[in-house]
Amino acid sequence: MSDLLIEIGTEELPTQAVWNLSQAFAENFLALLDKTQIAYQNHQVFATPRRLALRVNKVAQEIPGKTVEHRGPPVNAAAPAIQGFADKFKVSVSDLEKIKNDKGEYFIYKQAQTARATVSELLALIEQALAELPIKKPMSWGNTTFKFVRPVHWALVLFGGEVLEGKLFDQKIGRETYGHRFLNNTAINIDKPENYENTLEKQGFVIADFEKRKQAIQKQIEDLGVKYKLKPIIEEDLLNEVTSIVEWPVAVVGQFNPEFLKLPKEVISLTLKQNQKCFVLENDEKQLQPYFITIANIDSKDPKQVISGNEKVVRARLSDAAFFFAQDQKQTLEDRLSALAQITYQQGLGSVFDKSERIVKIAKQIAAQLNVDPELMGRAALLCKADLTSAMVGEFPELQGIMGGYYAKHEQQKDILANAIREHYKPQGPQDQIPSSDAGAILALSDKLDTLCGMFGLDKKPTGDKDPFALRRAAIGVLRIIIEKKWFLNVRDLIGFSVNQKVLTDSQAKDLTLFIWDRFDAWLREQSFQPELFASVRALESTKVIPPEIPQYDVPYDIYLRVQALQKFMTMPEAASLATAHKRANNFMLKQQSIQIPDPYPGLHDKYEQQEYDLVTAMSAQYHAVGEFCKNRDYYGALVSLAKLKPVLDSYFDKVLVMCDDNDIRLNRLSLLKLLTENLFLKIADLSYLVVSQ
Amino acid sequence: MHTQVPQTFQDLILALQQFWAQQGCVILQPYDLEMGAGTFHPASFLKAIGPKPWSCAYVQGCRRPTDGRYGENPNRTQHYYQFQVILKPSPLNIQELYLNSLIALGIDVKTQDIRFVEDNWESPSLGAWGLGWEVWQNGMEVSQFTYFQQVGGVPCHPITGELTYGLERLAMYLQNKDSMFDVVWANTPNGPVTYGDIFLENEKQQSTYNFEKADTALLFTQFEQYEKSAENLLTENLLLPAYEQVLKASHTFNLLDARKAISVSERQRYILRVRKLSCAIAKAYYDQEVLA
Repeated sequence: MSDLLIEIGTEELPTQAVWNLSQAFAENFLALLDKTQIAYQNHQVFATPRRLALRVNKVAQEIPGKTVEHRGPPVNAAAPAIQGFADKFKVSVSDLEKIKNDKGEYFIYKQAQTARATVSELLALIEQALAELPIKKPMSWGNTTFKFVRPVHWALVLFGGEVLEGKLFDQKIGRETYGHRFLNNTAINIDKPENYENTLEKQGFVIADFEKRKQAIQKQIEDLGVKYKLKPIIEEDLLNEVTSIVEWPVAVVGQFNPEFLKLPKEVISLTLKQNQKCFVLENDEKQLQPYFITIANIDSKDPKQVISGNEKVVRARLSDAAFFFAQDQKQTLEDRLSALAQITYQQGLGSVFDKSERIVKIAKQIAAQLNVDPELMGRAALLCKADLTSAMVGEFPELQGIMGGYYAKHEQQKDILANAIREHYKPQGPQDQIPSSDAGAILALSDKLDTLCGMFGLDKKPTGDKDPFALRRAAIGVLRIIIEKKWFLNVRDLIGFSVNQKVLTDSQAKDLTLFIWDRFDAWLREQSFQPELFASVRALESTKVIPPEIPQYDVPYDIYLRVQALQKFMTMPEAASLATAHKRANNFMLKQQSIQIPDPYPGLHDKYEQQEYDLVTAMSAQYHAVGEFCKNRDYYGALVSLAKLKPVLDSYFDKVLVMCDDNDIRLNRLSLLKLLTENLFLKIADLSYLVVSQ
Repeated sequence: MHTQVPQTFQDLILALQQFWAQQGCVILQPYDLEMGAGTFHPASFLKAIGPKPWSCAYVQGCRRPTDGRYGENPNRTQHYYQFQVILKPSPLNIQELYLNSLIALGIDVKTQDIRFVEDNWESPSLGAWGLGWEVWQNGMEVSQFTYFQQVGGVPCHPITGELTYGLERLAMYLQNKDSMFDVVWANTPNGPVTYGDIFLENEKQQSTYNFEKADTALLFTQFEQYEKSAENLLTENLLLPAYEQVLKASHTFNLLDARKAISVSERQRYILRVRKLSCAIAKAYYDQEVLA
């Protein structure tokens, strides 16, 4: 067994490729080792801007021999066919064997593959693993006829202490790696795979291990934070990005003019992060301070030059941002509306101004239902997209909404309006919060509803994993907002606001409703609710048991409360009995489908059993309580009341023969069960859906 | 190698010209039409097409009307200079050559933090794209580095390597100036002449023209005419004059863009019109090169 080291030396790789391609290469190559039955112990991946590398430890020297069975023609096939099969393996017909199965008798040839040296297969396996890398934009260079992610400068493959013979990307394979581009750009010999990263670090000024480099950067940033008594903001994505563009990280601190702190915090952070890949620092009050940390890729002979160079660029960037900020404030949001009419939102849905006008209508109607000032909401809705025409949002699209909020405040709009504009793109993902203000939530809801209705109206619903308009996120945003805000809004009304604007037809509205329920279902599962809980509540719609004057079955927050109560109820020992009772009752009633079960329940028949009497008594005792709990939407309370029926239900189903021969008694008993399900269980959910472990 | 830092803007140009001449490049002069980048010069755009090797270097004045700031921004102007190097096929040591050119300018690569940061290039109006980097020096972008993969819709083979130096930024660094207008262009017996002496007034006047005064009705007409004549010249197989009409159309579009005379939805259509012409010329040029 020997260690195997593979390193491909390249020109500076795209940021994403450093991590992704090194991982993919390891995955591909190890899968090929497995497939070829080459044994190995474990592996380690290395990745820097100028190299993809992999070490596989304790790789077997030999690929074990084996026998491969090839099936040939039936024994009664024509002679030439049999001869042809034998010729394929360069053997005579007498070397073939026969095999019999239920379909007949066939010739087979058992080909013995002798054991081979691993080294004889390595080059082909490496080539294949490289060829199958998921490179987004492969490139050619010079006169090459092959492609790769970036030009390749060297290839190192060591198996044990030996160099693998051959070429990769036109480069003769050797044992030489190269150090840091500026600190030691010379060939460095690697004697054996195990010494790879240490040799590179000591002689080459390269930390080859991605995680190690990342931790080193984090540590340097934190140490500087301690030194300056400030808190560096270390975002994971920026840390990963920076790790992908340096081989020898050296963190340095720069300063900028405190005058720039007048700019919105988000603008400063984004300018520094996106354009300069710098980390910002805050004080204990979470206020930005006029410092930044940048990660140089060099232990400079004169770090002051590196710092002053970076400070100069940061100054220019912030000056530009300040210019945009000042320019933008020369126009009011209202002034910008005419420009908004020039921006197409989506073919078939008009301009962004048209969209704003639709949002106004939706927002006003929702506001009216929630006792929020509809006029104020309308105003916020009209202006909410205006910042899209500002220079700052042109430069930093991710500041949409946030800049609108700042500009609204600047022009003395009410705080509630400015905040609503600021927050209306939220939540932008599962990690993001919903708008904190009611006005912001209504605006966010209206915007997302218009997007959903508009796109469904154009039949642009998501298919498979394609969701170019992020409609799934919009739908979950809608649900999260109304649930977290505890608003009893129903989906029918919400979509109806858009149907009235003729953005979508009735059948498209129906599609959209189903889509929203699907997202609700998926979202609940992600929150670790058992999947059948949602189904058990959604089943209420078809039973239509809930009185039509309070149709709760399409009120997401009400559904959520029921699902939550059921989840808690499921931990009670009584849950199993109730679910079984509901199932059995359903089964009996199903068998009697052709007959009209009396409704309302006519009362006990003359020859009733004790258990029937007990059940009726217990049901009447809980009927009122369940009703009261449901009225207050305390569904858990209602379920606890129902749980009290457990002993009588258990003995009822144990002793009473529901499907007895006497037609009248049978109907009477079925009628009681109908009463049990419809007047009690279905007030909360269809309990027959519940999956209870006994 | 002992090198002296070029003291003036013109020394910088001379040093780069000398360096690349020594690498075997043909030193050309700027093209005499308005263009948004050195890539539009036929010595880059057309020469990148087809199988023939070609190496050249030249200064190109670039015009980007929307980048005008009336001379008030220290590093953004509507007219500036690029130093463009074209190496076809791209040699394997192209990065090393580039870094040697920085060393030749007196830049100490063991002191400065030099980085190749991913930045892929695409020109929708030229139907061209390539992969490469922007080169950072202490966080400042000083050059663009691109391996052309496709030009005018034609896949490249061999591949052309393109290096573009931002001369003003390099000079600002070399002369330690915070504003490009303070960069010394030349030291003369009458004292230093700065970049601002030569171009500040031009920036003010041209920005006013670009943003406020350009006659949009006339520009729209001109765009149509340039497009029409490019089409006519193409049918006559007069590719070089046809390409010049495309350059004029492209600049006219940029002016209209600066005047905000083109709506966002129409913008894409205009770009596609220019692209269609560039691609037709590139295709015809390729056929000529391969048949020749």
